[in-house]
Amino acid sequence: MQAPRSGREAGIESELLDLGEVSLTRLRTLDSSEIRQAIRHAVERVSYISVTASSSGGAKRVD
Amino acid sequence: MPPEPDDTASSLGQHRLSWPDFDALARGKGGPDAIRRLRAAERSRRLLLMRALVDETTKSADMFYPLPSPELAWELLARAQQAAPSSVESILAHPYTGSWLGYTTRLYRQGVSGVCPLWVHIGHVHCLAAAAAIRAGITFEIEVPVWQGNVILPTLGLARLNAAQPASVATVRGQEGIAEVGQEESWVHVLGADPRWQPLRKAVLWTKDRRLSLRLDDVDPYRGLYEPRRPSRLTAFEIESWRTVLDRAWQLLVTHLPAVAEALPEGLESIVPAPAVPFRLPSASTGEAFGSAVIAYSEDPAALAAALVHEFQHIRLGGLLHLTRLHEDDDRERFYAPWRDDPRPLGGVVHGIYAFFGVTAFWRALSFAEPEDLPAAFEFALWRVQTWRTLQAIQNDNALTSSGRRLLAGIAEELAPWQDEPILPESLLWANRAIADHHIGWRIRHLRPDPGTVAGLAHAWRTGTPWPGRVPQHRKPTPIPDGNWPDARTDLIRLRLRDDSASTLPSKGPSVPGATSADIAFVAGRIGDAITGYRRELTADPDSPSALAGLALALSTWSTGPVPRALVRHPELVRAVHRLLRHDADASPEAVAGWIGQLTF
Repeated sequence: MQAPRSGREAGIESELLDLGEVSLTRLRTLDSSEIRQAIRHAVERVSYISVTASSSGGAKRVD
Repeated sequence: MPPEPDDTASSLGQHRLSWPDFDALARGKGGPDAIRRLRAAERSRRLLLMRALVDETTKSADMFYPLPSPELAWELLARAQQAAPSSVESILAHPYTGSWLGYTTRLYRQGVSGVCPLWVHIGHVHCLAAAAAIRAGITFEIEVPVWQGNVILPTLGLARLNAAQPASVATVRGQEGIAEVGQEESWVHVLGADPRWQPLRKAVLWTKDRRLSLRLDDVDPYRGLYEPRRPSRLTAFEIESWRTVLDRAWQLLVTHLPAVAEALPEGLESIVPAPAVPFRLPSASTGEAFGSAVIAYSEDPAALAAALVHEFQHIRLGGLLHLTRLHEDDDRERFYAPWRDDPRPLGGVVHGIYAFFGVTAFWRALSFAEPEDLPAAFEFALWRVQTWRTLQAIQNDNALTSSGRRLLAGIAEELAPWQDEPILPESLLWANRAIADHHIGWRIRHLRPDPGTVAGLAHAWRTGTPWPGRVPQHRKPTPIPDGNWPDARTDLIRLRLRDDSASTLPSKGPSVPGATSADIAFVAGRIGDAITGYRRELTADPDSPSALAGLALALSTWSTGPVPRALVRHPELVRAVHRLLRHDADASPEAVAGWIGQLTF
C-alpha cells in the first residue's frame, strides 16, 4: 500500500485489483501471481472489516 | 464487456483514489463520482472473494453436497452476464452479496458451520446465480438451498416452500424472465401474485429533482450484521409508514444538505427495517454490506434523516477502508466514544468521528434553516463538541496511518469553525449537561482507579491524616461496565426540548425507560427535588452510576465547590473510595466527594 507523503502524489494505490473490465468467464480462468496475491489479500482482510452500531448489545461476529 | 486479449492478470491495474477525491471524502464531500469509485472497488473485492470461494469449495463435495458444485453457479452467472450485463451488476452491487461473502469466507476458512449447515451458506451462490438469470431473462434451471422453508432470490424476494427439513434443496427454473421455484410437485411463481412469493418492496422518493430508491429488505438472510437472519416480514401498513417517513426525511436532506443528497443515492440502496425503540433511533451497518443500513423505525423525519446521513458516512468510510488502511489493526478498547456506552477501539472511534461529523453537519444545517428549532440546535451543540473532542483525543495516536491522519485533518478543517458558531442558549445549556452526564457515567463504569490509591485514601479518611499523594491519572478503561447506564436524562432532555416545555415532563417523563423521579426533576429544572431524589437513590444503591452522575450534575448547577468538582472530575475515584468507607459513620458519597475535591483542588 502506498503511503501518502506530501499531497503532491497521485493518490492511493490500493491492493485491490481492478476487475472492472474482466468478465466472469475470464476471471474464472485468470491464473497469475498477481491474481493469487489479490485474492489472498481480499480473503485475509475479511477478518478486519468493521461493524458499526449505535449500541454494544448483540452478537459477535465469527472471526 | 470489451474484448479480453489475454488470460493473465498482468494487464490489470489496482484501484486508485486521487488525493483530491480522498480529501473531498474526508470533508464529507466528493459527490456521486467519488462514491462510484468506492463502489467499483467494492465490486472488485466481492469478485475476488467469490472467485476464492468457488476455488476453495469446488475442491471438496463435503462443502457443497447435496447441491451441485458452486462452479455451476459461476457458469450461470457468466451466462447471465453475457446475455444482460446489468443483471449480474445488480447482484454484485447487492449489499448482502458482500456480507454473505464475508461471512461464508470466514466459515469455510475456519471449517465451521454457521447458523445452518455450511453447504447452505456456500450454496447461496446458486441463489445469486438464479436471481441474475431471472433478471437476464435467460433459460435456466439450477438447484438452490432452502433454509427453514425459505428460498431467497437476492434483490427480488423470497419463496416460501413446505419443506420438511430445516435445510433442503429446491430448484429454480426460468425462461424469458418468467421463473418458478419449488420442490417435487409444489412450485411458486416468482414475481407473481402467489402469496408464497414475498417480493422485496421499495421506497422510491422524489424531492425536487433528486431521486432516492431504497429497497426495504426484510427477507435476505445476510441482511444482518453478524449472523444470517430469518425473514421478518413487514406488513403493508408498516411499509407505507416507512415510505411516508422516509419521504419526509429525504425532503429534509435535499433541502438542507443538498451535497449529501446528491451523493447518497449512489451509496445507499437498501434499508433493513428494525423495530422502533422508544426515544431512540438505533442504526447500524457493516463494511461488508456497502449500500445498506439497519435502521430502526421512527416517526421523526429529522431523526431519520440524521440516521441516513450517519449510516451513509459509515458506508463511505467502509468503502474507503477497502482501498487504504487508516490505522493499524488494533482492537484494544481504549477510547472514550461519547456516542457509545462502552470503550471503543481506534477503528471504531474513527468510524464514529466520521459518522457524527456528518450528523453534526445535518443538524447544523437544520438549525440554521430553523433558528428556533430547539432540538436541532441541541443536537448540533451536542455532536459538534463530542465529535471534536474525540477527534482531538485520537488525532496523534501512533496507530493511525498517514492516511488516517490526513482523513482526520480533513474532518477537523470543516469541524473546527463550527465550534464557535452561536447556538440557542437553552439548547447549548442542555447539550453541555448531556455531554458532562455521559462522560461522568462512562468514567464511573469503565475506569478502575488504582487499588493502592483507593486504599490509601480510605486509610487517610479514617485516620484523619493528610493524603500525601496526588490523585493519579486514570488508567486504561475496561470494557466490562461496573454498573448500568440507562442514559435516561438525555432522552428526557430531548423530550423537554421537543415539547418546548418542562411542564409535560411529569406526565411524559415516566415513559422514558430508566428515568427516575430525580431525573425528571432535574430536567424539569427542579434542582432541589433532583438532589433530594439522587441522595435517596444513592442511599438505596450507593453504586448507582446514574444516580451519582445525576447528583454531580444537579450539584454543579448550584456550586463549583469541592463536592461537584470531585464528582465531575473523579467520579470513579469517589465511588471506589466510598465503597471502602460506606459502612463508616458520615461517609456519604457527598462527604467523600467533598474530601477528595479538597485534595484535588
